[in-house]
Amino acid sequence: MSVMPAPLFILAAPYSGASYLAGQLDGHSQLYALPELCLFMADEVGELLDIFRLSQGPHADGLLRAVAQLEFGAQTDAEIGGARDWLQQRRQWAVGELLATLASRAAPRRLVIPDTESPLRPMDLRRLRRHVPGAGVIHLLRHPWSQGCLLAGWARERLFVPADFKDHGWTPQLVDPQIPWLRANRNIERLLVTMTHRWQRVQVEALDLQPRETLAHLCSGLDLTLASEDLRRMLAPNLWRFAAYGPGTAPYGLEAEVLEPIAADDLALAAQPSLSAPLPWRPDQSAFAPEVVAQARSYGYS
Amino acid sequence: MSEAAGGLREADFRLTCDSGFGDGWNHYAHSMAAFRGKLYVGTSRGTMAALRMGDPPPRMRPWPIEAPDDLYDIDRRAEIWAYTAETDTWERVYQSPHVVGSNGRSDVPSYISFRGMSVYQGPADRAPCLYVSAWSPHTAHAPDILRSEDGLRFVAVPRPGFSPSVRACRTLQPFDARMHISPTASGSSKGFLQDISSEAVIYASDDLARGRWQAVNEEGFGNPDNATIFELATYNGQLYGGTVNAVTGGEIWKTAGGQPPYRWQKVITHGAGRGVVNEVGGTLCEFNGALYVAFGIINGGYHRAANIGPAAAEVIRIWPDDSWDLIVGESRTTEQGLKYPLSGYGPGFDSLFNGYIWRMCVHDGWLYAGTLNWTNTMPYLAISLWPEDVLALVRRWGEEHLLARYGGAELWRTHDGIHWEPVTRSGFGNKFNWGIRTLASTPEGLYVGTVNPFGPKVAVKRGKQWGYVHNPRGGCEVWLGTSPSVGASR
Repeated sequence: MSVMPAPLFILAAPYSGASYLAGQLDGHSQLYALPELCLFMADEVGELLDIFRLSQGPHADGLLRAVAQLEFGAQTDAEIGGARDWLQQRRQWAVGELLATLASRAAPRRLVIPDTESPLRPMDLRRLRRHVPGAGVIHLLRHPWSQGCLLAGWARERLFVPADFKDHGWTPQLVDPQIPWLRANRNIERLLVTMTHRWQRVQVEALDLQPRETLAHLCSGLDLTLASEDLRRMLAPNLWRFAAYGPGTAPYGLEAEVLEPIAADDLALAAQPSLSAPLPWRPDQSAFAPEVVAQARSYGYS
Repeated sequence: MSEAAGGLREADFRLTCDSGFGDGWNHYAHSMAAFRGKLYVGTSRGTMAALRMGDPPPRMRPWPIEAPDDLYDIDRRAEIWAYTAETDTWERVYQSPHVVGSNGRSDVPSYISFRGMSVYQGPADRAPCLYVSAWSPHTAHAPDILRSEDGLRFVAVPRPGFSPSVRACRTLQPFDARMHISPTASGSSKGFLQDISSEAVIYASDDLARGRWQAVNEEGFGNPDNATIFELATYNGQLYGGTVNAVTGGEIWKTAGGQPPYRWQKVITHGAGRGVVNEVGGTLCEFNGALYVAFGIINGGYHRAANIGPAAAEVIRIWPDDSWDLIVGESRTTEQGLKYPLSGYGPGFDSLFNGYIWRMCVHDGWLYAGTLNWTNTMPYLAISLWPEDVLALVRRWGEEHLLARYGGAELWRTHDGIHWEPVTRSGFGNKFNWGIRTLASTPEGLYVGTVNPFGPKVAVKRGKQWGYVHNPRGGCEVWLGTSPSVGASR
């Protein structure tokens, strides 16, 4: 009997395409992608639910949608209510136990989980490694310019933007996407050097330019055979059962870039990456910090 | 939970004394040192009662404790206690005398607090001695440094040439065969400032018994905005000093020593790029080859007289080449590049209420950091006047829930400076433990001394009426943390 591989995590800085790639991977017949679960903010489910309750963001939505789908078979408000109760009844569970249960429901397909929250916090990444020994990792990258243009465009219309995304040296604080980009990628690097099993690094630009080849390469790295039907479905991530908004009681769980339209101006700007041009979101016209430039170059960006 | 073994958890701590050594007026376990096989703790008395006389006084209604209008109705003579771990016993070994004050009263305490403590053997000492820095009221005399050879008899040594309004010093820092000290509080008949001195000078002595104090720096390191040199520490063979600067932000300076006055070198300015919100470099501790520095705002995270704060504290670490990392705090671009919190935690370990990261200490390969947490003053504050976003947060949490779960000082630990996890977030289960002011690593374990000014009687609301009731958990506490393996072998 084959042993089910541990869940596969797509770790990335915010606005690097993690939700989109999850939708693509879900198209493979041997994979089952969930929304962002924000699971590793705590060790136990009860503490996690408390954090969700107090959070100013929709951190609970992905987990609620996942439980609703896997335990109750659908994602309407009724199933979301059932998911809330189901989670409350398991407050004493370790988050790893919760994930193992969800994995067993998805079996024989392997779980795929996009995660742009844990990379911001070393302790969250440590919990991931501890609660999911043997977790697979895809480190997903986007050029910091493109990522910055998309994130800044999203933040422009928001009243609440996480403090993690801001330069607090400004009054009022300035949303500066290079901060979470550098922070997340460096934290992921720190995790990867401790991993003894295989992991992969993928640039979202490669997925955009050569989707077939890149997805085939990814599947190969995951020891998955790629049938033509798999590839066809992987190229249609809008078919993913979590691809759109959830019901009113848990609408989110994905990054906004796959849920909301992106302004044409932002898309156009994002398509002209540079590591030296003045950053369009910074009033002082400064370019990327040297640390960001060095990190981006180490990934082959220019 | 942690991957590195050996770090202390909350369950590894036991209470060695509560209720201010049996007297709820012992509000602060203000200084601590291991000496000749015992643990010594110097107290600060009646601090919350005196705080009401501050200028301006904190806006708290009702006042959190029952405090007389006349401070002399409280016995404020500071005490030194000694703990013997083998017998689990505390003994008071010293109590401040009374002196005839400048106001003519004969019951003025010489010392109302012992704010610093250090074990040091100077060139003229036959053996290591216990030195204690005192806080004296303005009606008494200039503050003293007490010296004890045996932990039983304490004698004042000659003082530095303080200016008349100096009221207290803090850290006693041995370095380069001299003891160093800097004034950190001032006062007169017009009022007092517990965290700002009338002079920003470090004094050094190579013979404490004879005095021989010399100033070893230019006033404020040459910056008139450096109002006080608040904290001292040694690292990488050099002496470091952290300043209070309410104009541009706290600074860190260092010197290799030599003949006084020393040559000083600027290390950090402008509150490490956070400005006045990092008003003071208040805690310094060497760990794993770097100097960890906690910055914050004086007066508990809200310097009302200077209109700074409220805001929570940060931690940075400095390397020998003066480069630095942000460990706990706010991301920002600085003259030294882009900084983000390597730990992932924002100011105050993600809590607005952690006004100070008050003390840090290395024990068994772990760095521990204790906070001052003012959550427990919320019932006495006019929170309806707070900014709407903070108010929304408190409502979302629920004040009662906040107090019950997080209403006390926090103790955090790390084995690598990056991964931090809480030991306690509730003052070891006592919401009246406002702060963790003292930490001492000893062979018996890690001692933790708290600030707990909510005694002897605390204001409690029953129905719509406030009243003062005896607080059985009011007054400073001392906890001892031992790893399970140590406990099992006893």
